[in-house]
Amino acid sequence: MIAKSLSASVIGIDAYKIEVEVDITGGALPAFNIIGLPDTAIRESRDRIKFAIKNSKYEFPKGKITVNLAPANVKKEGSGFDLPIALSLLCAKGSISQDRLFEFAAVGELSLDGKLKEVRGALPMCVGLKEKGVGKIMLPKRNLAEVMHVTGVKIYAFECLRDVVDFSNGVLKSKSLNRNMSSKVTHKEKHRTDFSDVKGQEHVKRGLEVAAAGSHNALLIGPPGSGKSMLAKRMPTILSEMTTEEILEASKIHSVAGLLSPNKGLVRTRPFRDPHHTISDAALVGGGTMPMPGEISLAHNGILFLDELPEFKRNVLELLRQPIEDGEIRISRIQGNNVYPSRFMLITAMNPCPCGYFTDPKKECHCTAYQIQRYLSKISGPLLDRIDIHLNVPRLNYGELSGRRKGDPSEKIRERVNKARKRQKARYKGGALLFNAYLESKELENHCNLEKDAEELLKMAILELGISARAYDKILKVSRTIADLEEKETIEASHISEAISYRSLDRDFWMM
Amino acid sequence: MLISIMPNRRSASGNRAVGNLGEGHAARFLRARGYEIIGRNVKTYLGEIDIVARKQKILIFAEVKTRREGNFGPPHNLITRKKKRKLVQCAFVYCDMQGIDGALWQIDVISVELYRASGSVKKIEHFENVIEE
Repeated sequence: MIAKSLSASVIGIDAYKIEVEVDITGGALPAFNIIGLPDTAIRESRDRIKFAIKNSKYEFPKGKITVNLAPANVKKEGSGFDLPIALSLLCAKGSISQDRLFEFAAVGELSLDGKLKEVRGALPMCVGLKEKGVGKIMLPKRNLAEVMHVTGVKIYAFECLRDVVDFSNGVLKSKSLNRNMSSKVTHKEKHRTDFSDVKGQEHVKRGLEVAAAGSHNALLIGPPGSGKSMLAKRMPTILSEMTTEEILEASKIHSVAGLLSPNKGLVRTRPFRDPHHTISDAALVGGGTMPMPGEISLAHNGILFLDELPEFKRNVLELLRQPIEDGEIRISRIQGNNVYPSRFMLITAMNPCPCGYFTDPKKECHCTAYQIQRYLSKISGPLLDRIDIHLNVPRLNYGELSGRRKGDPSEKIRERVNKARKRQKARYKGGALLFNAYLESKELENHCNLEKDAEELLKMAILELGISARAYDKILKVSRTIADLEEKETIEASHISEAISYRSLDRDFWMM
Repeated sequence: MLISIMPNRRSASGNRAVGNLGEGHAARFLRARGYEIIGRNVKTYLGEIDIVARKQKILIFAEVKTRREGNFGPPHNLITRKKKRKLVQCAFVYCDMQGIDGALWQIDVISVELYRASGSVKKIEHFENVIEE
């Protein structure tokens, strides 16, 4: 008695079609074995399946049961095989017809009472199965929200094993539940926070606007309580809405990590990830024996906020260097490579010294020069090199705190950012470039035309302020973005001077 | 006299007698539940199978454990790992002897508890498919 059904397994953020074969024989001691490189969760599925079948009022087949997950050389993981294995068993017993079963792919975890539970990675599975030519997919109802917008494949969602079997036998009629990717998906998600919540700090807000416009990484330095975290947390509100493609990309990663909620479905707002500074290297960039996406991948198409930057372990911070450059992270294991996208905006915040009050005009800093030096040296040059904009966030005085004056609301800033981003898109059309932040020095020459006085100013800055060659490129990039924000094609002196102001911090602190 | 019904536990033959009594109860129990009894005390060269029965094309090799009430817990606790191995081997040998190939079979345990005085059934329990690979 052999039966087959189709399912899928996720490797990285891509899914593979898996055939679930079941054979039941007599003449041997009753057994239930699963082969084909299953992980522990799959091996444990034996007991879940046994009781789910019994408690759904079906008879569990007797005899020696062998389940094979083909192709046999790929490692399988996750609880999604419960359903296809159960269906194959019932098919082998004759409860479901083989022809009908083979039309569908099935994923789902079973609970002991036969209810279907959500699985991780349902979205990449549906997309992957569609690409492999599978036309119909059965999955748990709790996964529906995330996959209902996948087109080109019919999706059927169920609550319990009995419903799946009845549907497979044609007893239960069920409609495919796809919805077209309507305006609903991209609809504006209301932010609960707004830039105008933050009082004062207008120059910091401006700096963050520039950062958002050119996708530059930013570093906020200031004493405790000056609003660094508050500002950073409002960054998503000034970024453009996600495109359909971006939503799918981000949702895939969240789906694999099991972070999509059954009610909300896709990731519709730009992700904002703020891991605590005790984070391990694998948690940040992804890893594990069965690799999982880390925080940087979860922040894909969004923002990664690292608060208290020097408190992070140094080796953890250094891992950021390559993903920032490449926009993806490759995790290599003996079984193969997993590539997770990780194009994020890095926003970091830190105090200027261990006690925090080095730049504070009111409160005295009692750190020694050596202490400060050691504190700051935790952030390596190469990492700092990848942060284009440094912003000093000073303590607010009473007047600013109690003042009625509110800055621009997020929506207004977002409009400006969108405009600047559109200009960049038009300029870099056809190339791999997306934003000014990714300009290489060769491209800088092509795209950054300076006015005469701007050139003079830059030259003076280099001579007088001791700005390095490295900083020179950064200043050009940032001034390019500022010019874009002001809708100018050539870079003017005012743009250069503003860009220089965003670099002054590495002079103040790191060259001490 | 009631006492005479109940075999004396202090001798080996007494133990055997308690066992036979229990097996009789177990066989009646199975028959009442729709099992066809194929054989009792079936001897193979590796040992004895208490009851061989059949229901819906599935062969049942039943091991009967009998005890008198109050004697150190429930009877089915007495099946040791060694006994389990023996049961499996006996089952294979039986199938071989009978020329049965590829049949579905399982090993069950029937635990019988008897009243000390009368020797009648106090409790009878049927554990299905107790041994898996």
